Amino acid sequence: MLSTYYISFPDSSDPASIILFSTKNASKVAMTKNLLSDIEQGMLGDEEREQLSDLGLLVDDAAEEKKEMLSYLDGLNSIDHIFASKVVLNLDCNLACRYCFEGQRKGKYYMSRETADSFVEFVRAYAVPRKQEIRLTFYGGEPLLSLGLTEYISERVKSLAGQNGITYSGHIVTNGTLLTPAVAERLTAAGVKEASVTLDGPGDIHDAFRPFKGGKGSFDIIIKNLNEVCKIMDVEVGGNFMKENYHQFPFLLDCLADEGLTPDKLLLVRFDPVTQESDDMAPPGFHGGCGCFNESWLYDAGVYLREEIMKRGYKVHKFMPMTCLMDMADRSVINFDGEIYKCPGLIGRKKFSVGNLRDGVENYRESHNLDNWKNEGCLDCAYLPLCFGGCRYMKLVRDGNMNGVDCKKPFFDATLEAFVKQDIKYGLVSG
Amino acid sequence: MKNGIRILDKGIEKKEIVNMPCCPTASGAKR
Repeated sequence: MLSTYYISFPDSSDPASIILFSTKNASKVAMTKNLLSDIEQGMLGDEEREQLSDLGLLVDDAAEEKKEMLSYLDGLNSIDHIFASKVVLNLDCNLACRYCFEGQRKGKYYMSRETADSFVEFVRAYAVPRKQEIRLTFYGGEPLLSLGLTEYISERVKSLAGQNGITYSGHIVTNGTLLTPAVAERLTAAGVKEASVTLDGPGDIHDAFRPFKGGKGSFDIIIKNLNEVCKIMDVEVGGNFMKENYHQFPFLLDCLADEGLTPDKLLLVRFDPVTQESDDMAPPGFHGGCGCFNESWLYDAGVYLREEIMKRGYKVHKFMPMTCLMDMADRSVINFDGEIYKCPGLIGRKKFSVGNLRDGVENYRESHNLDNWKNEGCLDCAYLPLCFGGCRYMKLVRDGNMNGVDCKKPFFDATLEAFVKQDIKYGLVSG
Repeated sequence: MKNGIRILDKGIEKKEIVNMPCCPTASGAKR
C-alpha cells in the first residue's frame, strides 16, 4: 500500500500520469494513472513494488509505518555524527535593524575569555569522544564586534578537532558591514570559511530596515565588501521580507548580478519572512512580522521568491525534510554568558535555558514539548516528516506557550506542490 | 517510462537530512 507520507499532483507534461513526492525522503516519481489504480487494488507486480518501496512510496503496513515514525527523530539522532553549536559572542550591534528579533535583549553584553575557554572545554567533553564532525556558527548581535574572540575560539576548536581526527568547519552570521577582505583573511586563517550575510531587498528597502545606528544606510558598504570577500570565503546571502515589500526582492537579485555577485560567486540565496516577536522582546515600536506560516500572502511570497531566485541561476536548498535544533540532541545555541538554549529565538528567556557550559544540558523534553506531534492527527498527516509539530518558537511568541503544535498543514496544502515542481523544473534532484 | 514508472528523483537518505543545516532562524536569518 502507499505510504501515508506523500503527496500527488498532475504531471503537466503527460495527462496520463501523475507525480508522487515522498515527504519522508524527497523522492519524486511520475507514474501512469493505471499503475496508481493497480496499487490501490493491490495488483502491483513484484518489480514495481520493489522499486516504489525503495523510493519510500510503498509500505507493507500503514500502521507499522506510523509506529516507526514515532522513533524517526530518535533514529536521526542515533546516526548524527555532527556536534554543532551557534555561539552568541555578544548581543551588541553596529546596526539598528527595525525588526531584529533580539530587540530589547541587545546591549553591551560580550562573551568573556573565561566563558570562551569553558566552551572549548565543553566541546572537548561532549564532541571529541563521540563525534566525527564539529560545526561552529559564530553569531551575535554582530559577531565581528568580537573578531578576536571568534579567532580565539575557532583556532582552539579547530586544533582540538585536528588532534582527534575530527572534521571542523566554522561559519559566521554577520551583517556584512565589517566583513572587509582583511577580516575575511583572518577568519579563514582561523578556520571560519563561510559567511551568511543579510540583504533585505534593493538598496532603498534594505537601508530603511537595516540602517547603521546613526541612521546611515548599510547597503553599499555590504555590497562592496561582498564583492571582495566572495573571492576569499564562501558567502551565502539571506534576506528577510515582509508582506509590504517582498515583490521588490527580485530587484535585489538583479542588483547582485549587476554588481558582479553572479550565481557562481554565491553559495546560496534564501529569503525568509520577518518573524513576529513578543512586545517585551521586539525592538521598541516594531509590531510587524509573520506570526504564523499559515498566512495566504506568505504562500504566494514563498513560491514567488524561490522561483525568482532559481530562474536567475542562484542556488537554493532542495525542498526536503529539515530538522529543528530542538529535535537534535547535539545541536545547541550557546549564549554569551554560557547559558545553553535550543533555538536562537529563545536566548535570554531564562525559563527555556536547557543548561550551561559548566553543568551541561539537562533533559528538556517536557519543557520544550518535544512530543507534541505524537498524536493521531499528526501521524496521519502527509506533512509530518516536514513539520514534526512546527516551530515551537513561533508558537511561543504567538500564543505565549509551547503547548500543542504549530500546525503547518494549510501552508503545505498551498505551497508544497509548487515547491516540488520548482525542484523538478530546475533539476534539484538526487541520483 | 518503464513499467509505468519514471523516477525523477531517487530521494535522500537519513544521513543527508542530518547533514543539512537546521531551520532559517538557526541557520542564520536574523529576523
